[in-house]
This record gives sequence, structure tokens and C-alpha cells, in this order.
Amino acid sequence: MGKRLQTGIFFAVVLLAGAGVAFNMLWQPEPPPLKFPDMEGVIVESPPTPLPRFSLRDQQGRPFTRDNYRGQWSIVFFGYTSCPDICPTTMGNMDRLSRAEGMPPTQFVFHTVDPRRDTPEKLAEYVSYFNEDFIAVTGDKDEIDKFAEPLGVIYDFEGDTASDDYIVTHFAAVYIIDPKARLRAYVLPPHDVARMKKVYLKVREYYGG
Amino acid sequence: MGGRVILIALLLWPVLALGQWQVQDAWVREAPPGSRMMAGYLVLRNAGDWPLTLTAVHSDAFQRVELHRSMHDANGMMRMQRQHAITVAPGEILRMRPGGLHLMLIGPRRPLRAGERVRFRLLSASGKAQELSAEVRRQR
Repeated sequence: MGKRLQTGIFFAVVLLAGAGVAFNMLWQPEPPPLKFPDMEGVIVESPPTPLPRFSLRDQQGRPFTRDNYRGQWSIVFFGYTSCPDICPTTMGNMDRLSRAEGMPPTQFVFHTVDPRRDTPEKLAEYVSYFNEDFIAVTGDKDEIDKFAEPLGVIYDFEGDTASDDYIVTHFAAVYIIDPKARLRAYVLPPHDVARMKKVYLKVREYYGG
Repeated sequence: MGGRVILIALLLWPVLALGQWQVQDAWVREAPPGSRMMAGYLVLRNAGDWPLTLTAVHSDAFQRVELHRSMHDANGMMRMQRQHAITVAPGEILRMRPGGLHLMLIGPRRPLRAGERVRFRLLSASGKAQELSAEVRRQR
């Protein structure tokens, strides 16, 4: 075999390998959907649903956008601080989940559906009561809806919204967002810690990261 | 003698009637900062021989107390449904719990901290009342 031919083959192989690597980096085929046959109320998104653009604020008043969901896995839930029963129960469960054994670093985000009462200052106090590391997010109703609607988060106000005592009926799923800011799965209530942890770890392991 | 027995029976009557209510494990979740809405929970056993209907709960510590049931439908919508009366059959136990039936405590008159106790008054359809005291707890 001539030396020139050998070199030619070598470069062709290198080129093909490089193209293959580049192709793999750009194109990740969607694996068969992950299934949870033994669990009810776990919905896996396959392919994943990219989060919409939105512009909100965190509890320190800093901008919070879709980009805040890039680069790490997140667990997201919706509620409001004047919620007497479900929301504090969920907050407590999420705190326990975040501290559960074997939990990898995860961003926990609480999105309010009640911006009239839930200012950044109020959210700061509320969320740090449960967990200092949790992020709480509020903003204009339109921007909340931009984020919430594609996730199927329906909510409705009951009672006199001019008073301070109205309640908010809301979709109470917990969402798992991948590091590319895409919805990967969501879990319907009840949210017990062991169940949530099992689902979250399995989704993370299966879809990488 | 006979008169005395009747007198004792008359004196004991309200006590026996109250004995129909057996309350266990009454607690109130400490409100996170800024929240005017709280929840309380208790386990109520009807130790009597006739049905017991809980119609109202009062407490001086709150502007209003209502009975609510949190529930989620098959679509994951979480809602609270006000309960105007709950009947407990003889020997049955009514369990309140987070994410289910609870006392909705609206507008605490002063901040309630974990470790404090709050007094409640349960009222039945027949007009009887039962006082109880619940501990404020951080969460569970």
C-alpha cells in the first residue's frame, strides 16, 4: 500500500470521526420514552417541550428568565403564599426532597400564581422559611401566564380578589426541567418525597446528566 | 335517695354528652412569614351511640374558621371545597390531614409561633360544643 494512500485513508478516517462527533453533539436522537408502568400520574414528555420565553423576577428582584433553566436540572412547582394547606405541605415536601440522601444538586423553583399578594419581598420571607436555597419567582400576570400556560398550569381565583382572603385553585403538578430548559416530565399530586425522588432520579439518569 | 340519683344523673348528663367527642392530635401549622391563611388538623372520634354532625368551629385566635377539603381531580387541579357539615357515624373516626380535610384558619389575630397553644370550640348540629386546645407546630 502506498504511503500516500495510507495517509489519505488516515485523514479520511479522522474526518469521518470528527464529523461523527460533531453530528452527535448537534443531533441527539430521542430515545424511546421512559415509562413508569408501576406509577400513576407521572407524565414523561418525549420529545421534551422547550420552555417558552418569559420575563419574571426572583425573590431578590433579579431578572428570572428561561436562561435560568439552562445548565442544570430543575424541579418547579406552582402555588401562592396565602395558600393554607397544599402549598406549605408541598414546600415542606420539596425541602425534604432537596435534602434526601442521594439527591444530586438541583435548582428548586417556586412560581407564584398570585402576583398581587406575592411581591418579591414577601416571597423572600416565605421561601427562606422552608429552604434558604430555593428560588421564588413572581412578576406580571402576563409573563406568569407565558410560562405557566404551555405547562398546562390552569389557575382560578375564588372569593373577593379585592380583599386579602381569596384563594387560588391551581394545577398542582411538579415539573422536571432538563439543563437545556426543556420540560422533561411532570408528576401529579400527591407529592410524597419517596415517589418524587424515584421519578426525578430515573428521569435524570435516563435522559442524561 | 331516688331524687339524689336523678340529680346526679342530671348533673352527669352534659359530661356524658360531651364524652361523645374524642379529639386526638389536634395541631396547627405555624404560618410561614406573611401568610394570613393557616391550617389546623385533628382526629375526631365519635364515641357515642348516635351520629355526630360537626357544623362549625370557632376560635378567638382567628377572624374566621372554616372546614375545607383539599382535593385534586384526575387532571391534577388542586382545589379546596368548603364543607358546611360533616357527619361522623357512631364509632367512626374523622381524620384531618395535610392535603385533605382541614380547618382553614383565616386571619390570625396575632402571630402564632411553634410551641404555643390555640383554643378551638367545635359545634355540633344538636347545639353541643366541645372545647379543645391545639399545639402550633412548625410542620410535619
